[in-house]
Amino acid sequence: MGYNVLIVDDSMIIRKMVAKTLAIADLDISEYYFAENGRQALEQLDAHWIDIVFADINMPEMSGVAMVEEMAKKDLLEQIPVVIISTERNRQRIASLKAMGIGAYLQKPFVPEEFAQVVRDLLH
Amino acid sequence: MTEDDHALMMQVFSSVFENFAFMFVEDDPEEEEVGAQGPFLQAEISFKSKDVAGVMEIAAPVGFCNELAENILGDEGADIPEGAGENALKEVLNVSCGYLLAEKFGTEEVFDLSIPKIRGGAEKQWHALLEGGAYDVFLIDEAPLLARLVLQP
Repeated sequence: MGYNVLIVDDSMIIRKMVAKTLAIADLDISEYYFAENGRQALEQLDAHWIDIVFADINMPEMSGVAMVEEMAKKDLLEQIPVVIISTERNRQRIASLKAMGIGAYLQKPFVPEEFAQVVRDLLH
Repeated sequence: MTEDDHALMMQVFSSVFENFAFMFVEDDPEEEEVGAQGPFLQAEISFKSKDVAGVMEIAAPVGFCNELAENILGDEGADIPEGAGENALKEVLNVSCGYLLAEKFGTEEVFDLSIPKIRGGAEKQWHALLEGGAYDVFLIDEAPLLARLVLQP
């Protein structure tokens, strides 16, 4: 059985780009779910079984950081690996994201090969 | 914009457009290469840290923005969703701004970036932007891109 993924970004083009990168990375994906912000993502996480989350930081309504904080409050959601994909380059902020327990951090624009390797490492 | 800022923008756009969309940036285009090419889109993002605040803007013809979306998604024409060109220009600005600020002020400075905004413009407004002299001009795969960085005092 393949993995269910949730892609969270307010940019439609990034949501499609991440989905496309996953599709060509030879990963066994069953279902793609999408959300435009952290709040929508939490609704998706309540409604579906998700194996991995890809999320931006800077989004309207609820940021990726707030979403990770909310996920950490629930035992079931806390276990789900989150890959943050963002333009953030500040070392302190990246370090604090890692301290929050995110699975990986990728800087935009990411290289597809690097992206695929990060996902493989997290899922296998 | 200073010569240093222009050179930095060239470095940032070269990296972002090449990595994101496999498009190549040229500096100092000829005047006839940057004339209006129909309606255009103009994207704006603001940023703020403890010590620095400002705005970055880019503008490009609508046709180029659609091509940018096609290249980012690796799809052609029919598969490109409505609004993809606007989305693509906003995302390129978002990524370029984050990159430029880190290069200019270092990765220790903590910046908050706004959600990018976008608006459309008609051909004659493109000429006004060009003639105003506030924007630097780049050529990306033979299409003009106007850009400016404004730091608030």
